[in-house]
Amino acid sequence: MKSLEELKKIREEEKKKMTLRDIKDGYQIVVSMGTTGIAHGARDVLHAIVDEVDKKDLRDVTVTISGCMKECPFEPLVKVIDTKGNEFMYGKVDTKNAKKIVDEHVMNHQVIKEMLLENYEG
Amino acid sequence: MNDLSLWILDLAQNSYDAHAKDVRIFITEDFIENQWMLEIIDDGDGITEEDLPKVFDPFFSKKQKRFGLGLPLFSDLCKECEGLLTLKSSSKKTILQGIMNLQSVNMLDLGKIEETITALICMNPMVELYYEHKTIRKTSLETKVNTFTLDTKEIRKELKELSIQSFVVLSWIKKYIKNGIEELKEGL
Repeated sequence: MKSLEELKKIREEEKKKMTLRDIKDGYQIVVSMGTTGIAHGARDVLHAIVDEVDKKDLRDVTVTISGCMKECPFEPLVKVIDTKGNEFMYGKVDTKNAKKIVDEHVMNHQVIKEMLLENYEG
Repeated sequence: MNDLSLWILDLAQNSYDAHAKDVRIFITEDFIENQWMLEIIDDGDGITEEDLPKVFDPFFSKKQKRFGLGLPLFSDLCKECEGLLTLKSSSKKTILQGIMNLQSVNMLDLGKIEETITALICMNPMVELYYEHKTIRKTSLETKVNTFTLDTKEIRKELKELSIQSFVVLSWIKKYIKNGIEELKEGL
């Protein structure tokens, strides 16, 4: 049985690691989590992103959830906001290209043009 | 939506949208009465008596009345599973209760409830979330009740200055719930 005691250990370990990088001034990733988004796999996408951000130890990145982004046919939607405040909306994201968004856009600052929502809307 | 935990994620978001500061999710699996029950209780803005019937209508509820498309669809699911969805609301307390028959052919699996709970914490880390999952079984000798609980208030106490939204904490919570639910399933 896991217990809350383990959190103390996590806290101590994190304390040692805490640096200036913990200031959340980096990229923001927003996952749309309305009814249609959830039905199309938004929860899996969110967890794929969180796992990838955690794995790559991107401590200045924020991951949040929004309600319906009113683009239902292209769910799941993921919005990336860079450090200058520019917004990029990705459509029809799955767990595989969710990782790609973290690796290519958030880490290497390369926008993945073919996955942007504007390509789907025609 | 293929599993109940996805429905719960959708339904619980209504509480957050209604500015709740405290959200409580209760799941009871009663294997004696063959009843599955979900309760979501929050302290967000209530629903007026006038609006209460409207929230079940998919065409008259486009979020300005607190509930979206999820609620009428979940109500249908409860009926398909030989159960019922009810909603009670006062100004500072709203109770959503869904009941299903565990033996119903349309009954869904719970799915990844640990991902639903962590998604909700991720969504609004300032809201307190309490999750209680109970199983009721009959053994040869007695009625056995097993309970798993998760309380963000307790977690926060342990974390102190560390954010509940830290990825390392979210990933711990996910494992903690998964582990707890597996133990419940074993019914030990």
